Amino acid sequence: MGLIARVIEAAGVPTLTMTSAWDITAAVCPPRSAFVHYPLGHQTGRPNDLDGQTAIVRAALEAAWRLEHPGEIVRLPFRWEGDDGWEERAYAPGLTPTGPDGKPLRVAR
Amino acid sequence: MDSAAIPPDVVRYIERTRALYATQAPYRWVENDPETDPPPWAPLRRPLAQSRVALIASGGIYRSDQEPFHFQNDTSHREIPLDTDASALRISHFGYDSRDAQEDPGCVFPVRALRRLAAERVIGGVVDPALTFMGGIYSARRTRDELAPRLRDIVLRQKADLAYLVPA
Repeated sequence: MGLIARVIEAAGVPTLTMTSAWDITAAVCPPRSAFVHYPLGHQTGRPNDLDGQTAIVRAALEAAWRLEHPGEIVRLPFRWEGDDGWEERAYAPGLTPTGPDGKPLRVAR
Repeated sequence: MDSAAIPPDVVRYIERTRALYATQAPYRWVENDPETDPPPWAPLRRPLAQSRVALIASGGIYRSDQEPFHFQNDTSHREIPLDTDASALRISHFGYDSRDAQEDPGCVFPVRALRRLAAERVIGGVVDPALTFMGGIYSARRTRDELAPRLRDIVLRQKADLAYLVPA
């Protein structure tokens, strides 16, 4: 998506890219990004929660006006509640993620 | 810039993808060094409350009367009229857990949220139609040469003030 953002922005239209994958977005480096720490597939919120979705979209769009540095990623203040440890299961069906030391990954909270 | 430092608590998707699909040809994200290949920059033209926002979503959303996305380098896009009922939206995408988005496309295709923000005059308007595609495209070249220019030209014709891009 960051590649698309760069092409559109190069044509003179400002872009804001939503992301829940900081490392991917940092690698592709679109002009402006807003990060939500939610599982992939929920970049603009939980299902059947229009209030929550609207709050995320609003916060992201408002953040675009505060970003001044090309490539910047702003972190939005939303937390994925009620599912502790989702980060360790994310994108890892049947997989026990390990860190660089070979031990099971522990995510700081 | 601080953005270059990955926060300690976020999921490392590139590492996990490599581990998960170790036996297959690796999916490669485009890498742009912010120092040598910085992103382009177009200034925001007017305040948010006066800006018309174009939604582009890569979660594989299509209308039930449109052709589904297929799973191999599909660089096509769909145009989704804003008044499309959520019950008429479908998803075909192999790269993420789309169960919640199947139940409510607003998880990755926030048309209702944008229209509400327009009604509340937080934004100036929503560009009609919204644009969708299926983001699991292995060919960066085809994304760059085929899909991106097509979407760019539509957004230019729509005279959007801001393109809001939502991956999945």
